[in-house]
Amino acid sequence: MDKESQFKAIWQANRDRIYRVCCGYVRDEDVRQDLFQTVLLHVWESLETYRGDSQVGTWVFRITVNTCLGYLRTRRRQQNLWTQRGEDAGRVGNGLAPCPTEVCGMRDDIERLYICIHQLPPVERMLISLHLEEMGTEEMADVLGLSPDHVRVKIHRVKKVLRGIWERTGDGME
Amino acid sequence: MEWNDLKNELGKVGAPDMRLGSADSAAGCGGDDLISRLRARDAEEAARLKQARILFCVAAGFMAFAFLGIASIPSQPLYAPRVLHQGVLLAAFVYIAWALRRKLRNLAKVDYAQPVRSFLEQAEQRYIFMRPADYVVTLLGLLLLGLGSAPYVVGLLLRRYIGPEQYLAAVVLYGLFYVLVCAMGLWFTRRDWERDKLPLLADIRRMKDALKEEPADEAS
Repeated sequence: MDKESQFKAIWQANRDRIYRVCCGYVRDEDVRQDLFQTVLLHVWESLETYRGDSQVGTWVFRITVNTCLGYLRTRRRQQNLWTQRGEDAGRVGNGLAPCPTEVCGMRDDIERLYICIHQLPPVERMLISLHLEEMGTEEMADVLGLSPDHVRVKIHRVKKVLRGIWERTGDGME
Repeated sequence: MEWNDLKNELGKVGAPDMRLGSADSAAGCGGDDLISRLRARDAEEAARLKQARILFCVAAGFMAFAFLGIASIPSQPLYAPRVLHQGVLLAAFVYIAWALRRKLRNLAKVDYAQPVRSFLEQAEQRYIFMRPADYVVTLLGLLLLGLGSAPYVVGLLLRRYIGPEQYLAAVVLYGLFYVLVCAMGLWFTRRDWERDKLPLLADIRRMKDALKEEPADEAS
């Protein structure tokens, strides 16, 4: 299978999942799409080195998560540059701008879930985003490079924290 | 908060429409679909690599040509300091070019497909100010450059102003000046790194810490 066909197959099977993980990282729709396209670019670039030693889905999620983590750092560097120049840091888009339902097309409870996820630190956001994608513990451990037991503990704790945030934001959201 | 309901609802969230393009459409130039843009990206990358390779060859050729040119002037007999400093300078430039290439290759070699923990470990290595190996590479380059330039500055530029008895003092003074310039360069580089990279390194370390193994006391 050539590179383009491989990419198309990956695109068909994983595009929505990739996008949803991106949604867990940034709220602003433009930034989301930028991040989404960056992930696709990295998938394209990494195709030549894919050896098939892990499931394609796992491999794609590794790229997605690493790109999201790297992207947050890049945005931070851009914000630093703007701030140093005395400009409004918000101009580069910090990914926390409101995302109106009519733009994102999401239901209120999903939008609320993302608002809660965005209050978590980056690694916890990553864990919960993968968990919400119905990813098994073994597969998550493979993506993260951790032991399955450790992943189980982490997920348990993150869910607890997220539940707390969900309950706290409930009054203001509903 | 019902996890399963939320998961089901979340599954309905899809990626925005984006033209993927086909092999046929991508074959044309200037397409704005994804495949065309990705192909353009590959072409850009290949062109950039080609340009860098050409520049590197031109610079290396220029240095070799200059060295051979000076060494082959028959009317000007070669004498040890000139040959020595040209040779050391040439070695210094080749070494610095190699060190820069090594650095750029390491920077370009970001593997997004590795597990997150390894990805963060590699990112940490990239953002550290200087690793022990970087100190060795940098010091060796600076030493070669200093040794190569010292005979030129002291022997060729200053000899009309100083006598042979002051030659040693001039070499020592030049050495001190060179070390001072290198120290200032290092200080400015460190200052820029602290401003730009240190916060990112702190972020990476926080993420790494967040992934550290913890006792499984709460797992159910």
